[in-house]
Amino acid sequence: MGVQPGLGKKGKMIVLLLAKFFLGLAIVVLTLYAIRHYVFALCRLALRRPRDFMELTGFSLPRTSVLVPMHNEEAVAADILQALVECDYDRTRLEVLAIDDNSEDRTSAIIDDYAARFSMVKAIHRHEGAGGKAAALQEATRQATGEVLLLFDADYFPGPSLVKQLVAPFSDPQVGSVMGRVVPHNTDKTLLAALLGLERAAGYQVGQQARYNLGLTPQFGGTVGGVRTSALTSVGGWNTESLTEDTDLTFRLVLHGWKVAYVNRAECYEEVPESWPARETQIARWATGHTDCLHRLWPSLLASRSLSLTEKVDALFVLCCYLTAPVLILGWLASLVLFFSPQMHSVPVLSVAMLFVGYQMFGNQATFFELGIAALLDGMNRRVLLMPCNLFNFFASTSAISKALVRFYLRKLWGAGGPPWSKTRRFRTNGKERPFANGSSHAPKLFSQGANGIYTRSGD
Amino acid sequence: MVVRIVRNPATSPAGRNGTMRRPFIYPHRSIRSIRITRGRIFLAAVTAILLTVLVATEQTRLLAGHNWLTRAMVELAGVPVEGVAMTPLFPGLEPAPAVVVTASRLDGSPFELLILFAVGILVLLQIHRRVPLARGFVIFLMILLLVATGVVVFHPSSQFGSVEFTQIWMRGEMLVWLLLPWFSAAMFVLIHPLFGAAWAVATQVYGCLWSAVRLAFSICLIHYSGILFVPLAWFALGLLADMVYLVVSYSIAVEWASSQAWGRRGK
Repeated sequence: MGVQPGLGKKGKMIVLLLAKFFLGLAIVVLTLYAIRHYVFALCRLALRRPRDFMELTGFSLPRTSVLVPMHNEEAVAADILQALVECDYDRTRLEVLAIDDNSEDRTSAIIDDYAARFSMVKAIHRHEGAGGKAAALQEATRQATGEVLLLFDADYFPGPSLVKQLVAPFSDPQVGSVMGRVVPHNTDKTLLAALLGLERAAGYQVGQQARYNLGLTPQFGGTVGGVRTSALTSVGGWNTESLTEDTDLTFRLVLHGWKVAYVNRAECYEEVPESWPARETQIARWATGHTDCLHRLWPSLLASRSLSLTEKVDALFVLCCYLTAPVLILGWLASLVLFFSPQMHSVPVLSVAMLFVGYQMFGNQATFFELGIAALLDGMNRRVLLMPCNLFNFFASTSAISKALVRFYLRKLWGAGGPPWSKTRRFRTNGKERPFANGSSHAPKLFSQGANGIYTRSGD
Repeated sequence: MVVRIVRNPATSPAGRNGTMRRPFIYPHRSIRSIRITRGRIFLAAVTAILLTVLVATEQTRLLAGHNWLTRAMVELAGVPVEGVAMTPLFPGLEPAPAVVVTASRLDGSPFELLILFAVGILVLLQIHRRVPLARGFVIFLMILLLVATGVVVFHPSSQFGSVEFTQIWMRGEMLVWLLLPWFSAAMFVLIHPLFGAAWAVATQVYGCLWSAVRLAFSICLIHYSGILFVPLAWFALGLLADMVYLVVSYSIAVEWASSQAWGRRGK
């Protein structure tokens, strides 16, 4: 057995035992996730949705505050604010809180310009206190007057009816939070963006919708969604210590007995990272935040009386999902050790070998099955042919997540605080050197409705 | 609601600067669900059972055909074949014929080992530099190459030849061929019955042929460079490559089913 030079018989035995343990662990963990993916995809394919809040759109119009945290967003700030002031929600019941969170560019001026021109827009400038999205949201929540708080990141394009669609589920008094669907608009720019488009489709069209169909908890993603103000207050507000305040809030809400609704048709366009470094920053933040939530919340989730066993298991699956990356790497390394071991040549039991092959080939296939179902439901014809390239994305993400988690656990071990919040890079410049059309100080009207009912952008 | 973003150089800053390259944002038009009928489930089960029974009952001929193809390609590559040895797979399965070639022993030729290692690392570094998305994958291949080199240098008795490698290979492949029909049935037939059934058969045939090509390539590697690149071949061309062709096959099936369901309205 060629593991290490000079390794005694006992040492070889220990190495082999460890290799078998980690390979076994990887097989068990990833098989469980694979089964979950298959179940979700098949349920999404075959089951009708239990409740469709879209039918209630426009019937319930609570006073609503839209929160838009911005940190150095001069390239996109005008677009989101323009889209929000053009929405078809009752103006007397709507306010837009544009939060300038320590921006060093022209974000502040753009926000002030909108606040001066539209009474529904309120400018909030933060130059002190903790940075980061959660802290900005905490500040804005204190000033918000709405019964419902809707959240949008600055790079999003909400359509005219989106606010109504997202508010509709709050007519159910049990609903504490609502999540809409995120659709990338820049999928034609780079291969990575196209692959992330497929991934988003699987995550929302299949993952979120299947969880909602099965009575599990869809995840509130901190943008294109909302939270009932009373529900937020009842769970103690935003967790400013968390890198993923949205995941944190989702599970604190369900622990307090609130439901999370998912509205697949309430969709909003976003920009996905077009370069790998931007994607790495994003996924590292998600992995760290998620795993941090897992450490804080798993005892409460297991002990909760308001959650069923299936909900608890699914919640743990969600919170543990990023830990699968290092487990997978350990499994690969273990299989490498076993490859050079004589035991590799004498797999004795057919069923064990079948399990191994089944996991290696078809277990990993599960995520692709989910991608394919999402593509089919969304009617992606040509783009779905890019699916095999997602393998590279898979390897790259596995490596980035593992690095982020190693950093996270090292910081934890040394008693250091959590890593600072890092913003995902924006790729849309929108002529930031001249933020508004024609060099003027006013942004162009984003959407206009034609005689055929089609909303068109940019002065059609 | 249909939202359309139009590039308009006169008024849109995005259009003026060419940053919004995409002329349209596609409207959301998803179908709510697909009916999985009893007919589809029946057809999927029949397809899976037929293909599995066929592989199980015809395994001798299947293995012989696979070996014939592998041998033909190895000979085509100019590698002298010394013969064919029978190697056991699993209890209950037929032994598989394996092509025998002389395997290069690099432990006695350090210069050759160094050159091959350097060339391997340089090629991988180039891919690492030029294809950012493939970096994670390439780093893992580099680790494999390092470990294989370590084995050649420090533990040369762990090196093996083409028969042992064929045994490892065919154990995996035989199981893939037995399991594949069930996954093909679930993934292809359920989303589109007739095309799916035909596509499942085509994928099975392709799987057998493609396996022979990959095995022949790996045997040639063993002949020229011993086990140095075998872990890479095993990792990248083994079960992973099986998964890749299944994903490719699946993406084509989805594209076909989506085109049928959506027609020209598809994105």
